[in-house]
Amino acid sequence: MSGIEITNLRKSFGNVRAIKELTLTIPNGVFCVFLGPSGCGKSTMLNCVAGLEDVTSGTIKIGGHDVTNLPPHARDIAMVFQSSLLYPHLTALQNIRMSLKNSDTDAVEAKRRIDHAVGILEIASVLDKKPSAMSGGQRQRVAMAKAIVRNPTAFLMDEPLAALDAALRQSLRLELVVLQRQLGTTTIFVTHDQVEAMTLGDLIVVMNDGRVEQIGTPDEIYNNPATKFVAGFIGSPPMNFFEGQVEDSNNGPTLRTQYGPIAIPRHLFDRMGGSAHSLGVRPQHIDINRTKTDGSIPGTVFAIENLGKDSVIILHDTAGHDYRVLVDPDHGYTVGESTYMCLDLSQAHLF
Amino acid sequence: MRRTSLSLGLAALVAVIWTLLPIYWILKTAFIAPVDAVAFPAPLWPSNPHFAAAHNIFGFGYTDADGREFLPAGQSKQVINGLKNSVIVAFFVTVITLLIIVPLSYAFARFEFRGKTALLMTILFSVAVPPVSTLIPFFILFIKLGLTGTTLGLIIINLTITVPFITWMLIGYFRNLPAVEPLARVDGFSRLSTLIFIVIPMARSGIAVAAIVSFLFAWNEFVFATQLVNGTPAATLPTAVSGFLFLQPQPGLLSASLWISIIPAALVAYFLQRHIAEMNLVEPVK
Ligand SMILES: Nc1ncnc2c1ncn2[C@@H]1O[C@H](COP(=O)(O)OP(=O)(O)O)[C@@H](O)[C@H]1O
Ligand SMILES: [Mg+2]
Repeated sequence: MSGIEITNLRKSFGNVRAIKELTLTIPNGVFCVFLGPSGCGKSTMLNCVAGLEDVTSGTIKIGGHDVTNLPPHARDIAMVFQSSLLYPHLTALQNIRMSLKNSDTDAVEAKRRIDHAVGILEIASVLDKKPSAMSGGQRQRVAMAKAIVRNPTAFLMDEPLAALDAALRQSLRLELVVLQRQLGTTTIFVTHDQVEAMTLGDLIVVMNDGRVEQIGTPDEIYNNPATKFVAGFIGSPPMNFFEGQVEDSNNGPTLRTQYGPIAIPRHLFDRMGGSAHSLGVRPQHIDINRTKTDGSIPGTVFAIENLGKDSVIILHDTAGHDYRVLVDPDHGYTVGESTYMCLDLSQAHLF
Repeated sequence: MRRTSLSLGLAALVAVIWTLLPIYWILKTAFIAPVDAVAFPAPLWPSNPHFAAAHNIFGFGYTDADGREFLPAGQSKQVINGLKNSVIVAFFVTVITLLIIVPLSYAFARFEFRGKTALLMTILFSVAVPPVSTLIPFFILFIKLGLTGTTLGLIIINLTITVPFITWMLIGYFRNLPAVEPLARVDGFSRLSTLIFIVIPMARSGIAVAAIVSFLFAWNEFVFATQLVNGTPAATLPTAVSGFLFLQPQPGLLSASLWISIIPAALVAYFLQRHIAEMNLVEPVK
């Protein structure tokens, strides 16, 4: 049985085409993360799946049933909203009960489910508190409990961790993964945070401007980005791009840049052909030297970021373009120094 | 730190004395015998309590310890009648105002619809118009409709003030409430049941404050009442109390009637006051 099937989904708000075309199958039990910059249509997509927005065209199936025209409550989903929204005037327990209030679950079954959810989320001590008296982490757990008691076919979550501080976010992320594994419920999780996406997702859907850029496992997305957008969006510090024209000459394929030609491995060229104009290299695949070598690219040290374990040196070329290079913290470079970048082309990407 | 709390305390003390002393001064007169009330210097408190005014104002006679008899005067009947009318007017104005403004301001705060801005401007405009400027037109209209001298007419005219003003006040309040509507939809509530079962309980502080404001407005309203109902059986408490100004001075009765007009308003404000504080503390979402 498949979890969620979205076919040719489109959604417009007047003239704004929020979702341009989206087809996607999320297998049963998979934790799927929608990742993309703010305003790219993630929430709109999730709201369409939830039934909070009507689709402009296309169909949505959940657990094999066509739910395109059903109201949210009839879709067998549970939702966790941005910042783990709860009813502010109700206690945690009343909030959780609201999930079952309009369903035909009998009292005994409701109590059993609530006790179960309270047990696995360890929220017994906050049941009588209102959201304003709970910590961010407790609110998140209560919101999860509220979702779990519905026993849904799918969980839909819209940046539930966005408002929390970094440390709490990290621990809740782990809890969420463990919980989802335990329950085995198909989940769509929306975020603009690539670290969150990489750590949570079995499957990542990278979105940009109302379209899907790439669908894949975190590994595939990181190691084989399908588009320049995905390559630049995933990974921190971000990938560097060298612009130019790709040509296939007698000496093998090259990228003609303003600093001279850069030889490109044959396998990269064969995959992309001559249409490419951008060479992507991750910061850890660039070496910097004080002396010029064959095929190296000049750059001036503009800034140095110390990350503890590594340092990021930000170089400017003559046109003012940024390049980031990951080095050991004992690199010894200072701001303003002239250096040369050596690219490890075996790890490069062409776009 | 100590100095600020000291000066804060002093400021509060001055403010309290400033507002409460004149009220105390007139209210104590209700329990002072007429001869003592006009003595100089006036007594600071009713050391020799005397209950003639408290009886007369409700239409009862009173015989004091010295055997003097005090009979109710004509104006006291007016006060009792005014009390009854004021309760009716304030009650209906409050209930009708709430019935109109809660859905109205909620719709303005949460939904987009055609002509919304124009309607909002209309409401703002009617809040901005000084009520007195509509007095003459209303008076003429009410004469033609036969609404002068009626409780109904007074309720209608009170609503023309309370509805726009409190709608304007509540729109901002509703806007600041967390957007729980999608949550409610996923929980299976329709739009209407979301309003009734979720939004109204969630907004109870704002609605309570709206109730206080409209009750107190209708309770205290004087200008329209003077023109429309004064001297008729529909006269309200403020007009009845003001009637004492045109009689031979009866400070005890005037004071007793002020007690009657202050107590219900103070009770309403007291029981709903915690909402005034709460209304400004929209519960944090984050
Ligand atoms: N109710 C709406 N009316 C008009 N435009 C909307 C509405 N909701 C979203 N949009 C537009 O759709 C696009 C996608 O929005 P959204 O799905 O909220 O993005 P994300 O969640 O990825 O940040 C944005 O351009 C936004 O302005
Ligand atoms: Mg969003």
